[in-house]
Amino acid sequence: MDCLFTHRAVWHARAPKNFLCLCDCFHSASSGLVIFVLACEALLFLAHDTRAAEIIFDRDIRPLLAEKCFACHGPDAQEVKGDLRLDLQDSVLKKDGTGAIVPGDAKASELVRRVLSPDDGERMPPPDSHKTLTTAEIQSLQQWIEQGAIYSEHWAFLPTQRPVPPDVRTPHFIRNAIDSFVLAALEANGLQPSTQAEPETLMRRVSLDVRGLPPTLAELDEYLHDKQPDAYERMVERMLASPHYGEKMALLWMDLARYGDTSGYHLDSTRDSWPWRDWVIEAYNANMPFDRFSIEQLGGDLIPNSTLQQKIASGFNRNARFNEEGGADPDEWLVRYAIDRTTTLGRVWLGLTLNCAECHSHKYDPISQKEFYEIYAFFNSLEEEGAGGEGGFHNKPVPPVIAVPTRQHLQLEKELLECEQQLQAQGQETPARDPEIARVGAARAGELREKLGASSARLPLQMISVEMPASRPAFVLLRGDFQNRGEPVQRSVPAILPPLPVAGQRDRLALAQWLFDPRHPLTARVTVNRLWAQLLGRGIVETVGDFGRVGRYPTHPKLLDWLAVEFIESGWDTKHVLRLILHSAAYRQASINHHRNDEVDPHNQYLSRAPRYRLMAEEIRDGALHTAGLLNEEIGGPPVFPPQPQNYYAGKSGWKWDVSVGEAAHRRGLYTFWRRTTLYPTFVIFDAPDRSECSVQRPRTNTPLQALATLNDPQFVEAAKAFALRVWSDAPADLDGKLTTAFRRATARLPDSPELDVLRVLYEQRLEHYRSHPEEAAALTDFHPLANKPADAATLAAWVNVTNTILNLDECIVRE
Amino acid sequence: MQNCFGDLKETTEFRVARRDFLTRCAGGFGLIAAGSLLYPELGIAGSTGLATHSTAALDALHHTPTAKRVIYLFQSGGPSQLDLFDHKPRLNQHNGQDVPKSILGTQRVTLMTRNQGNFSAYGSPFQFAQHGHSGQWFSELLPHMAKTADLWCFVKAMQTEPINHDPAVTFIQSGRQLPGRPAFGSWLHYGLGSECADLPAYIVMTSGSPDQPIVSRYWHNGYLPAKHQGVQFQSTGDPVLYLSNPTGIDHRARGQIVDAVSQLNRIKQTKIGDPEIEARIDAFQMAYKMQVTVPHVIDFSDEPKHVLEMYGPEVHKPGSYAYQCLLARRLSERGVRFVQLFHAGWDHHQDIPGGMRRQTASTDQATAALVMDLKQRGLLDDTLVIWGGEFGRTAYTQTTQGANGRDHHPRCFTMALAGGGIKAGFSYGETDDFGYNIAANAVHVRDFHATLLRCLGIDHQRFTFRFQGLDDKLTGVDPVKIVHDILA
Repeated sequence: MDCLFTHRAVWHARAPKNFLCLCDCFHSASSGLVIFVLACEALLFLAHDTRAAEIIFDRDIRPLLAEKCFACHGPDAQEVKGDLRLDLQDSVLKKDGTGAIVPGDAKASELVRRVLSPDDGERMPPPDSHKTLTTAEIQSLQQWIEQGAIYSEHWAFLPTQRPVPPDVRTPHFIRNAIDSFVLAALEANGLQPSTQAEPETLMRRVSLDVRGLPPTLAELDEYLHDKQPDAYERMVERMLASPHYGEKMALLWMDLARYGDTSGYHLDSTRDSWPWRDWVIEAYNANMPFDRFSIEQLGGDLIPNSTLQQKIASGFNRNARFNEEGGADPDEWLVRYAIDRTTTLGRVWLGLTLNCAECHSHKYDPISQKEFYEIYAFFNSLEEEGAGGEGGFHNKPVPPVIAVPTRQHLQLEKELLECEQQLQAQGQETPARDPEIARVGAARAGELREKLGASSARLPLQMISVEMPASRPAFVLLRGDFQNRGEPVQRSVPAILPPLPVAGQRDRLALAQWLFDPRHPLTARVTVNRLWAQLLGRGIVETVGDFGRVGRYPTHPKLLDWLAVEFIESGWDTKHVLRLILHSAAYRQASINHHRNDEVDPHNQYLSRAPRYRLMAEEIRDGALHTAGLLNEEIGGPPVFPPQPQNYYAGKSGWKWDVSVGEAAHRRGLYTFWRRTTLYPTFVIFDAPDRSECSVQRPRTNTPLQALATLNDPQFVEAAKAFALRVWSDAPADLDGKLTTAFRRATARLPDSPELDVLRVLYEQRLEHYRSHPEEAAALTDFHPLANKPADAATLAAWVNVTNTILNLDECIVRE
Repeated sequence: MQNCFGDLKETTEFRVARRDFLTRCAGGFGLIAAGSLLYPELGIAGSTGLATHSTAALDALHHTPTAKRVIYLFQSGGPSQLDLFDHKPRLNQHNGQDVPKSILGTQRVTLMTRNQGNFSAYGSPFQFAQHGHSGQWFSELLPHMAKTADLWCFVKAMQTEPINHDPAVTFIQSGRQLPGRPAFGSWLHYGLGSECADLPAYIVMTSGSPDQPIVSRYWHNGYLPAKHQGVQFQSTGDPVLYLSNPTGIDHRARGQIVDAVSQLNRIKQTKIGDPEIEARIDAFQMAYKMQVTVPHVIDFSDEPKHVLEMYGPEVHKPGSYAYQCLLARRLSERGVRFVQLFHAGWDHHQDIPGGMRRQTASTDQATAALVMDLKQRGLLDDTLVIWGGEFGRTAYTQTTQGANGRDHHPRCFTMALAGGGIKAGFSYGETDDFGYNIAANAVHVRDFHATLLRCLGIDHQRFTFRFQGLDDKLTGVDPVKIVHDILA
């Protein structure tokens, strides 16, 4: 209020015109009084603030109109009230001056009068909408009108152009163009960047962001001992070249692509989706350009003479769930699958909530219901079963599927071929020279053929896309009801976006190619924004799946465009964009929060420090296994079944969880069998989505159930035990040395003295306890022969307590 | 002010922590609970009837609540209303004859019966009688519930939309047929917070023979943060996942470990200044407390003999419906906001006579005992008990399945409610003479949800969460009415 008071004093001196305005407002009793005060504050602010921040229509006004007004005055033509559409400039600013807004004159604008009206019957938004405008919002509206009420097309629908990196005051911070944009925003807000993070922190950060795994001690030492000026860049290259890069990228993509190992409804039968998942890993590791990567998934089957790999890629469309329930109506579910695919296309490539237009025209974005079904029409003609039909469709592959030769199968084929060639060669050279060799060879060939036959019968059957020879007709479905058909529609794309080529097929392949039309304003922006979020915790557009009018305005709009253009011009090179961000000074900052910017930038959206946040569910488990030396780093293959509580499937008919044994239990989390209706419990606890549908953003919660999981989940306990053994055998022999190495293995950094003290006290406390309770020590260490010797068992048990502690540190489950 | 992780001092950094948290809660879309706009200054726990142990998204209730907590006895599979509560003498008279076309109308039937030639009426094989002062109808299958007739309100013209299990359970759980929306219990936890510091606010248990799958998606938090998802109490092993320490680490050792973790986290916090670490420390403390509380809750040794007997002999069998009914009462007593049992086995496409007998034998006594037990303890006044499934069953038989079963029927079914401000000894809504169509006072699932929220002090119109640019509601966008007639 101090501030307001000052404004008021200033205002009296300067703004007699507005005084009259206030009097106009003051014409009602008590209910009007509140409004009056609001109005006073708004106008006082307006009158005073000569250096008022520039109003950006896209950022400040359109989202406000969209949220508070568009429901009745927006793009859904059927709902428009009073013939006023606030999304259209022509509807608002009528030439004859009768419009709701008089540019440059807030007071004369009917919109302002209605917003401020004390009369419930007049005021907007009306009381029964349960929406209200805040003082600040009213101020913004008035300011915008005073500034001329300039409308502009929503930024995300305008073409991308490469902006010139802005000038900054402290250029020494800058490492590449990204930093110019970041620093300019910091300077504009009176903020300063942080210094570079410690090298240990940086290495761990890059390793987690790029591979989803922490660094090993050897990798860490290699980097720390590298004194060359480009040591960091070369470390980044090593990480990007790691085959685990593909796994991290695939994990993120699997959420978007709604990957599951089951059908997702009812009995939730198993399906073979993993050849598609392996295709994704390999594509990322080969740095397949993102356009090809996308086109093969959306329309790989339609590429002329498509390869097996392209067909597998097209399994993307079949990742949609399948309702196998007996009695379910195929006609209904065919519609659902096509809607799911349309929605997924919208969220992954367009960053639009297309699905809002399933039942009615979109309330905020220029997507009519008809346009929704025009995209839908690309996806409704796959050859597929609709539903379980009369008797259900349980535990059967859902056609069309393709048998995918596994590595082992290909190896067998190769062996057989070699064997046969040898036999043939022998037969030609010296017939009957050595009948014994020929007999053994023939027997071997027979054996291989048998194995190959058996292997063929077991090959995974990947669901793939196959287009029907003649398309199913598509209609607008009134209120989204499959039984309630409206007008027929043809395949097309929304008018707000670039058109499809006039000539050529209109099929999924064409739709996929259209996404990469250089004029397309969304695909590149949406994709680089996700890459940015992968490395910096949140998108430049925070709503990574919604670039529409009620999505968040970008924190760095020009940087987003710069990256988008860079992405396109690099040939959609994903690693190139990641590398640019990884090289930036902005990325390399320390994540220490000095709480200097809590008022100006409480969420650190301008990046005056690096973000610090919890890892993904799979990464938390992978990290513990990795630190313990247990992680099985094999890539690809069928899903595995790490231990889960025995009773977890109790009451679920027909499901088995045959626990993987040995090293198979220690594969990375992305290989854990993904039962969509009842997910692997530790992953659920750490916010993994069930992938029933496309998921663009995982929440990061912090709950007691998570604490119980990292403390007691048998796999985390197993990790603590293996980690303890590792510490046992680690040089150096002295306690502090061992504690230091253990701490470093888990966090990549050295503990400081108070930290070492805590661990030492714990170790000694627990050692003393186990010495006097050998039975407890034996119970905790029975995984190892050391348990037979009480003294050793007590020591090892104490170490298990210490390693369990370390693996539960906040620092172990965050990236900082 | 408290946040959902326990007490936090109101310093600048913790205010930032809370803002961070709120943003996170909203999945980055900004927290919009309409109440916070309408009652900006009323965020004081206690005086508002809201939670005392964690942040509720609602700053204040919209109405005076008549219920503070809910026990939902979900009967999965679609129990036959025609063989339990909805007495239809005329259907009995038509037994074996085709249900008239005028009754069948044009509504959808499932693929399991769509192609059968006839729709022959199947009268209930069970005797019905009126009970209590209120004269409510019960079939002979429910002798115990019949004794509590005057405590129940039967909504006999419930209506849902889907005709198959998965979408129908999803619909009644979350207000939508398709997965992805928060369960009712998640909404409550989100809106009202928790009343209990050492137990989850939304607890789920499953029992019965699973003729239809019961999957954890049914109690999923949807787009709400994961902390609002139902926590399943397992019937064997750890009741809460990973509650038990490994052999060789006892409770004291666990205390020392949690203490060391917290000390180290605190050291880290001073170096890095991340308020999230403080929340992590609180989470570990609560986890440690739960390790004590939960085993105590499931230990029935402090229950008097007469109470145990009231629930029947199965009460001693972990995982049984009776055991879970008593556990539900014990959890509610301790302030758990929403306890939901899923009892499977009601999908009687065949053998209504045998199947219904078996199902009711394992549920009737415990259901009645729970309501009486709550009543005796004075808990029924502000605990809302709900009994019902995802849809009802048809008046005609499924001829392909032995002609003594019933198919799915979303058009009308019965839900039973008790306590929590619901009119007791009352019946609302009527079906036609065949129990096939609604004759009067339909209650759609959305109306049902809105009415339950009303009991809990929440206006469904003002209870929203920003998702994909929409202020989404449990009750969606279609017209919804609160059933005032069943409110006491």
